[in-house]
Amino acid sequence: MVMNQNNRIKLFFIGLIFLLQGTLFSGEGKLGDSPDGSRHPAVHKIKLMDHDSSIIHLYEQPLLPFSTEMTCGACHNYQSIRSGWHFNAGSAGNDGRNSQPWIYSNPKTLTQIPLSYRNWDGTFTPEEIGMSVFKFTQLFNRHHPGGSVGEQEKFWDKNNIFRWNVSGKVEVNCLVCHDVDPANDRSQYARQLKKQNFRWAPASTVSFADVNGSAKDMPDHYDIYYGLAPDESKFIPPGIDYDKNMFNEKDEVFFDVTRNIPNKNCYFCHSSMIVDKKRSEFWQHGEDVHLKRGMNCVDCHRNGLDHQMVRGYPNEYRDRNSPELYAFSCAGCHFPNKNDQNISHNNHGQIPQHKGLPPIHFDRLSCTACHSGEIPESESFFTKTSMAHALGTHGINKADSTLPHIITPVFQKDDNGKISPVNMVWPSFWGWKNDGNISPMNQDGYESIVKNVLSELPLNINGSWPVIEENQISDILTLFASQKSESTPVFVSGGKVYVQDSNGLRSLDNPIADPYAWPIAHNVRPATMALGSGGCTDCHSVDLPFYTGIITVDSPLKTDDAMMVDFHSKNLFAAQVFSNAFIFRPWLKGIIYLSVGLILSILALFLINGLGKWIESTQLDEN
Amino acid sequence: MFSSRINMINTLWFISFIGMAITGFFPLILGNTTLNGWWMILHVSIAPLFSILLAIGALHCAKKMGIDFKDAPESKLSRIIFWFFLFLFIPNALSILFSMNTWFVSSTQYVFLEVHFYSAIGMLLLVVLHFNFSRKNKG
Repeated sequence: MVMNQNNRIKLFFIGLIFLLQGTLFSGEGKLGDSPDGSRHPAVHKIKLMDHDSSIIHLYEQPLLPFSTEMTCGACHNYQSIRSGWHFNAGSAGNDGRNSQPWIYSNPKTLTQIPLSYRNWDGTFTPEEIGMSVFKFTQLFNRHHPGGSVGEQEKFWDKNNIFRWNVSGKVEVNCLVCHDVDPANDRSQYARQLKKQNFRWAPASTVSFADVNGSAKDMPDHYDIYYGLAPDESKFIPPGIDYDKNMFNEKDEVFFDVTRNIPNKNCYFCHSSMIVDKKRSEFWQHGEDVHLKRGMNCVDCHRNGLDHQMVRGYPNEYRDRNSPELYAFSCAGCHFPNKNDQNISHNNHGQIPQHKGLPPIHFDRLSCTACHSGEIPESESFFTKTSMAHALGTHGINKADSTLPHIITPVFQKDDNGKISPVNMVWPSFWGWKNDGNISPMNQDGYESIVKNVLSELPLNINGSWPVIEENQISDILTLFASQKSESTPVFVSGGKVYVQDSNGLRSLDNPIADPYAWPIAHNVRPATMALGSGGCTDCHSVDLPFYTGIITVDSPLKTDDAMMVDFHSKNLFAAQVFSNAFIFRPWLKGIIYLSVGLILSILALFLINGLGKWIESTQLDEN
Repeated sequence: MFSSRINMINTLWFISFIGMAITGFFPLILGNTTLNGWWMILHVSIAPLFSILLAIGALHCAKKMGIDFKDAPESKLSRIIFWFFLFLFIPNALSILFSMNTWFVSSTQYVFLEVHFYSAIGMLLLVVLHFNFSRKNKG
């Protein structure tokens, strides 16, 4: 049978549809994911798509917020992107090196507890303290670029399922990093999360949209398509207005997005500020030497489509089985010939001289020990970070001592046995002890009791710990004990576990009370400001902070401070003996130089004598 | 009186040499890649004593043996060992002295450590050879 022309055309189009389906919907090879080599940025004049993958037309009602998954995902492989480090907490097989946790703190309940959906030692999952994903999203996604547990239903508490329907899931917010429109207001994102407007949050940040109303005020049965009955609620439902002037006749809008992320975008979530009375003005705070010399964060912290950002730590290339990553570590960039793994970037840092630095320092210290973070002083500092203190958002407590208290810098031995600078947070929480295991109490279980017992305390406007006496802890523990006879209530704080027994309040050592620490890599200081630039005695001296710096043991109770040496070599006596040796070092050198001089003289005499004998013997032979 | 002082100096030097060898090599035998902590403190503390006693002992030996290989009571091998030991001491001491100054970059510092390590091995072997040879002669 001969196929006619029409049938051939039909078959061709059917084949084309299958082909397009295979390429467009399989999640592979999308239009925007295959760069053609042009370094000129692609102009993103695009149609907005809502969560149902329908194009948003300004004349339609109700107007829905655009979905990043559908809008950006039309040309970029969203599934691949959401596997990246920023979005994969809770679902990654590999949790990666420990990093800054989310810190839930509340001075009224004496709580400060590091949380993470990653399996990092020393952190707790939000569920362990009775915090649902919904609550976590409201509290912490202000400085999170979306995705993760807020996007995956399997993590959601069934009790909140209706609220999720009203609020919507938390998509990857591509704009928080990629939008370079100066009018992008990232603090709006935090504001919308507080109102439970999860679905509207990314759209609220762009310059051409305004979000109003609150999903929080809507009943569980609220439907975004049908709204509310006229007399059902006096509150304004969540909604969005688009600036019509920003759309063209094809309903396209221009997104000023870039692949080359500017530093200021990273800074929204990755700012930190040292609390130091000597630096009361913002201009007194420094910045990373790399950025000052014109580099961008993403010059080192690169990523491909999968958004597995290069973290840049020394063994990352081993952990990820990717030798080329070595080039993005400190040593990989500044010692370009080592490992011969500099295939993927064509710039190298200056090769450091390290004049007079004994090589043992490279075995015992990380690069960051001398070059990163704050220069240690006699007492540790508090530092405030975007993630922990909601920096850059509205309505935060700007007091220096507001919780959580992050201690910096602390020198601690890392997994490779090298001393590295870390930030540190001391957990403080109420828990139950069962068969020797301590687990945190659910928030619902302790909040009212603790607040009642501490209700007489004056309002603490600086957001720090209230002044607490041990008898108040005893009272609270006694009340807890009366509730649950099979478990022992404990208070974990300041590196100790407090237990109430017949003799009163006792403090015990337990690893669960150990501080959680994460490495500091920035700000990097130049060679002239590195530890050791002033000589050996920058560290090797009896009373200098590297060994005897006071590290705050943070707790609402009075605690003894720790000493820097407790966290690295743990041997103050040896350190002090070695430091004292530097007093005698000129003598030591002098004696050895004298000995060398004497022995060189004897050797010279020996050689001269030998030479004389040889000349004498050759003269005799000639005669 | 003089010879008893010399004997004391030689004995002390030998003890300090043993001390230097133990604190220098034992940590590496134990699996440490570098010398640090108490080993380092002991090694550095013994070093000046070792070097000054070596210098005094060398002066005495040179005086006793003369500065050539002829007409000395010691065997020729002993004298070779003696002079070679002194020769090795120079790079051994200077490599570590130079590394304590801010003149050299880190890559050179690694070279200094190698020089210090291998010259120390050479010195140790010479001492072992000397005692082995002396014991055989006595036997």
